[in-house]
Amino acid sequence: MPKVVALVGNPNVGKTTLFNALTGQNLRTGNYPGVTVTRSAGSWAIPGTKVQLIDLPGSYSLAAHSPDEALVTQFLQGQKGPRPDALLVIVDASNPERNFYFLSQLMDLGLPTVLALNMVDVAADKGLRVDPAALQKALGIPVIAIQASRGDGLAALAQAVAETLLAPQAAVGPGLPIDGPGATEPDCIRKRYAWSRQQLVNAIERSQKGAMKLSDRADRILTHRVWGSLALILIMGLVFQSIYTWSQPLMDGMDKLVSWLGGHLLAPLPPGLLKELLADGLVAGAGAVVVFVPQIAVLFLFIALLEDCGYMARSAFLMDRLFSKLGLSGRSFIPLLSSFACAVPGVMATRTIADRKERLTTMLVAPLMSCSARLPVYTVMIAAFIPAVRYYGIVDLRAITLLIFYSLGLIVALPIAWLLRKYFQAGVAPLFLIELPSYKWPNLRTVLRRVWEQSYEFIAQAGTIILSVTVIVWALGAFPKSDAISADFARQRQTIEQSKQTPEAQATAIRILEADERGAQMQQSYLGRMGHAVEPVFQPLGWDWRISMAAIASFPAREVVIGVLGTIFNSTNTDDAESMQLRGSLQNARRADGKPLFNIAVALSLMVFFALCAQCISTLAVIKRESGHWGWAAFTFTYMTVLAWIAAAATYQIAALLGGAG
Amino acid sequence: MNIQNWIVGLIVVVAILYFVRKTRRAAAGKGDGHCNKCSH
Repeated sequence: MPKVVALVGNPNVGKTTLFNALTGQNLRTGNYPGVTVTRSAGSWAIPGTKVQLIDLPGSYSLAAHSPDEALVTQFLQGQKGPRPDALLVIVDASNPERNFYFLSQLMDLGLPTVLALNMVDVAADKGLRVDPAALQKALGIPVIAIQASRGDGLAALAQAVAETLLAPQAAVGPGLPIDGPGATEPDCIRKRYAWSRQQLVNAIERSQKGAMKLSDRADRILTHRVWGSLALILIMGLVFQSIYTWSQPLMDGMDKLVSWLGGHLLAPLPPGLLKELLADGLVAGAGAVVVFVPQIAVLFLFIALLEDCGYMARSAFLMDRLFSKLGLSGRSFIPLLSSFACAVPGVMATRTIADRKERLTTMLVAPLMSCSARLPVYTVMIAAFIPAVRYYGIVDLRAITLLIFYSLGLIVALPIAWLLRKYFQAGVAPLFLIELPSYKWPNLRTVLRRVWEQSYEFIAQAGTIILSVTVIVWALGAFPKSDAISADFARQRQTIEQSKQTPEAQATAIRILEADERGAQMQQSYLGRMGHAVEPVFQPLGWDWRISMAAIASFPAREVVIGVLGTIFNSTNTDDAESMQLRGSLQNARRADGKPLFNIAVALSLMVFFALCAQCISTLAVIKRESGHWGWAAFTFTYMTVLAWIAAAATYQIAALLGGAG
Repeated sequence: MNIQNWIVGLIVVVAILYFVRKTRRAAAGKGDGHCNKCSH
């Protein structure tokens, strides 16, 4: 049995970065507190033996307040299984006094302990020098200076842990209560801080040198009530502008690549059902989704940069003012921020919220945040129907529209959270305390890894769930085939072939005819029949049966919609099929009366619906798990779906009144 | 029925089975497909 070593420390001191460096794993890290909310295990080879290293969420104290802190306390006190064989405590060398409070409690557990002194470089910038040897003497446990992000000092750390496991010695703390009412007595807390100062008195050297001048100066602006809020809007505006300008050439390249691959894949196949399936299901459906990979990559590049440089914690601080007015605190903002990437980790991040009512409220509004799966829907609609207008030469209307839609979820979440708090009779917002991490240059490896993982994840989605849905939708749209329609179009085809048109004109006419035939066949297919049955429900939103079916097919996972729209509209597009770009097919789509199907009003209503609807089974499952009841998942699904329908219908009707349906 | 139709039928059946499995797993909170690489 390998020995078990628990990796513990305050939030945001680099535990997961160290865990990844020691075990070779790729768990997610971020320069703000509360990224890790559950425990993870990894294998770590140290001299002479192998240990199982456990990464635990960050905690300030063994007197747990929130579910993630309770997990740490229960694990260390052996309330859920055996106690670990040793502790590897990691502290932030730039803020030792605060970190030592928790260390004093951990040492009182009486387990063999090794101390890793991380971020010595940040401490040096602050004019703080911590002497590991002097600290080791004072504490009576091994103390190793490391820099987890660069891998410095890890060999010495492994050696120290190996020696500790070989000859275990119980750590001796101040001998104060660690649980029960005595642990939170002011006298006990005072004594722990006094002990911490005493341990550090001979090991710490302060100079007047740095004192974080740059970070402090930046914070004077970035956390300022007015300038900070303006900076937040400006930064977000720049992010969305860049998503547009940077990813467009890459997306065009991707489109050409997918079209070229599709063409070469299909060319040798004889006409028939299989070719139809590959062309309309695989290439037109899943292929249309892959085109969006560059945009996902650029979005996550910015998310990773903002997270790693330390700005995310500032934005939570800025939002606290607004949130507290609605009964939430900035503490809720971190899970909501996580939900902009994906609501699943966002809902799980609510474990950092101690107040049950605030936690539940945050959990129920988290799926309203615009996750990355919504990005392709916004992009394709904006690219097709929002004019490419630039104001003052730099501000792009399309980027502003994207920013508005990304903010929509947050804007809608606030009144809903307020209503939920009223329903829960939750009272005033709890006080929000957040430790602002030092600004630092983002770690290139961390950033690139995040970009790669999310892009890979997106491609994997396109190749699995999206592909399976597009195949099913294709089958529903391809069967049954009407012999009467086939015979009618065969006659028309014969007429064209016998006409005296040039071969080029004939080819174009036949291509249009074939697309029309596919459209006519689809009308009477199973998909068409189902679509016509549900069409009245979505008529107030300006949608026809095809859009309605695409939206319904996307309830398991919303990114499926792009594949389904591709399967439905790319195959019936009468334009030259040189490009897989969905926007062209959508622009060309017609209603039965010949009018364009999509216009600004329809595009806006579709985007509003996707912004607010609960189209993600994974999120509902995680809400059930975290709230402990299916009822809350059912409630989330119901309120979001009803809200999405009402908001989309209102958007369409208002936009149509203003002339957007022309 | 020619071989192409058989292949298409097989692909559609596999797609349906895969979709059902994936959806059931997601509903059970397993392999959510969104964030299996992160620390959550």
